[in-house]
Amino acid sequence: MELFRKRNRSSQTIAEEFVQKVENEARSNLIRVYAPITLLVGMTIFFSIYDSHFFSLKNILNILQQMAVPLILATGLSFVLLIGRIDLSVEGVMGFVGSFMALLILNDRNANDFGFWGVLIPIAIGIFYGLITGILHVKLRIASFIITFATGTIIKGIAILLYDSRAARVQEQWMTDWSMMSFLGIPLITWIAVAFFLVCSIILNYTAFGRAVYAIGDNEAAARASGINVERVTVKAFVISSTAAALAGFVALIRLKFGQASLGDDQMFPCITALVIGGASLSGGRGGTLQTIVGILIYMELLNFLTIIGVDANYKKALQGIIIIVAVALTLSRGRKTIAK
Amino acid sequence: MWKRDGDFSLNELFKRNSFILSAVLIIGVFSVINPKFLSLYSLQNMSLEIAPLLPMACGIGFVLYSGSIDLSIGAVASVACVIAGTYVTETGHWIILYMVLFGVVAGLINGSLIAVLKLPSFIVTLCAQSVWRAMAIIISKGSSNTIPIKQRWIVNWATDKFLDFPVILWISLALVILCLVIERKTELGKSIFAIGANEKAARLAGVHTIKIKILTFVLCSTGAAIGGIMYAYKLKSSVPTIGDNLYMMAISSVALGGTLFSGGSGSVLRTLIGVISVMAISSGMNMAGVNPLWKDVVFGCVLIAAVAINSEKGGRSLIIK
Repeated sequence: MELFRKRNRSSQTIAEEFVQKVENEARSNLIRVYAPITLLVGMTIFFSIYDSHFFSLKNILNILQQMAVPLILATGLSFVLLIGRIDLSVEGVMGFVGSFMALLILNDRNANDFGFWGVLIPIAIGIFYGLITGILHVKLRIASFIITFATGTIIKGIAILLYDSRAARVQEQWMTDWSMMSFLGIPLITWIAVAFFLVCSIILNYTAFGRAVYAIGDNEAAARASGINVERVTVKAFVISSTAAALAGFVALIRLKFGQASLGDDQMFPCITALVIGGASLSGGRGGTLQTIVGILIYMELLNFLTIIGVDANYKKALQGIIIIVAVALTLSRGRKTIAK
Repeated sequence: MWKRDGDFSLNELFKRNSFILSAVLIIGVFSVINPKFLSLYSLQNMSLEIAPLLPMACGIGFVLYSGSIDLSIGAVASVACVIAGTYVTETGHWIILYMVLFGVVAGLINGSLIAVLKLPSFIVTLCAQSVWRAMAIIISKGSSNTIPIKQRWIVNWATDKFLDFPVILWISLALVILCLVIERKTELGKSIFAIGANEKAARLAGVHTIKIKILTFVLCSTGAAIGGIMYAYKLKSSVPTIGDNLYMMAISSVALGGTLFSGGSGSVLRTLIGVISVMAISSGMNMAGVNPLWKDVVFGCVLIAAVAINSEKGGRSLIIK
């Protein structure tokens, strides 16, 4: 009887513990979702009070134009981060697509003028490259950061070889027009970014693939056991990420009209920073549409504010590194059995 | 079936020693292309390139044995190179001590964040890379500065020849021997491999995992800082971008040596062969007149191939991320 009571009591405590654990997790999830939003609102109010120029229409349009490339890249990267991988090759793909595109359309380096195909072919190659990267990662079982680091270096090297260290300047008229064009006062490139973001949101939230991405990020072994083809989903995530990189290369070329491979330099790190600030977890499973957009907005506002008050670009870069470490330290869920290297 | 201990397998033997084969193959191919490849003059030039890369590669080796990674070594080397190149004329050789201390501090920061806060190593070191790279540019004000010719005598000894080869190469080789002693003869070395093989088991067996992990990052950053100082002495100038491609080369060398990125195995001697292979590819391509822009493409492919050949396909069913 004594023994039974004891066991009964202990089972009760285990159940209570479990309930408490679930409640704690729900609470921390709530904090994780609402903390970035609160931060965003707070920052906006603070910056507007600090400097009246911040909330002016001109500056908002400026922010919207600047956020086109980061938004596209971050949307693509969020899929890879959700399954607990990382893609360091996006900068290389972006540089390749931008510089190769500049060589294929009307430019000052050669006589090429493929027009529409000149835009489509580089993007297609960029997407295909993501497929190769994903397959190499899955089939050779090489950790994602090593394989993407290597493939990123390779494609950037190829890009520089293609234009032989003298980059092409775009002379296509429609591209100049596009960079000026705006709809409802918002620049066209921002609309492209928003369209891509919306399509990816639908994929992530309303398809079986999107649910599989979350399942793998949460627990890869369980996802595999429940019949999800982990390899295929992983490759698809890398394809989406490189699609984003290719599109970002196109958009960056519209903005700059100069096809250098360094087009993509220093683009990936801000995006990962933004995603992590927004509440995405680098060990996978956490993040999503809302987190991506909130993270990007926080990041762009902060960057814009630092520029307004006149902080040196190099200090901004150093600051990024510190921000991301702090954000990762705060959001990383410890105790989960992930092998993140 | 063949993998049982004591069983002899030609396949295994080949796999374990393929790094020597690849080094011989690389050197063989380049000496056929260009007979002068193995001349004393060319070897002396190559040894000048090998010397700074060796401490970096040996240092990052320790981190890789323990199953982590350090992407910040290039940036740490840049900072060391910039500070050493700028201030060596004022402080003299004390700058070497200061920069080694800087390496220790940089390693302590990385190591504590990774071991104590349990953050993934590649994220922490990626951030550290961004911070140190920015620091190098801020300190140097964005441009490389040469040491004035009048004061060159302070650093000239580094590239002077001793027994036909530059002094810094001998220093590097001494460091390799030091690393070998740490790896083979000390408790630290054994603990590092134990952590790489199975961190939990190592902890249960009484290894102070946090301390050892921090020490691996300290060794790594110190090696990187020494590499940076060597570049400053070798080039006689401070170059803020020197490290940008170095970490690629250091990681490629360790991979070419056959060290597994999953941790638990490897050796400084393998890394030595790997560094020689990487530098043979690099200077061999230069001598064959290949466009230097090909280097990134080639090293990227080499890295993938080396990691793919050496990675364990079966055996441990790790979730590779």
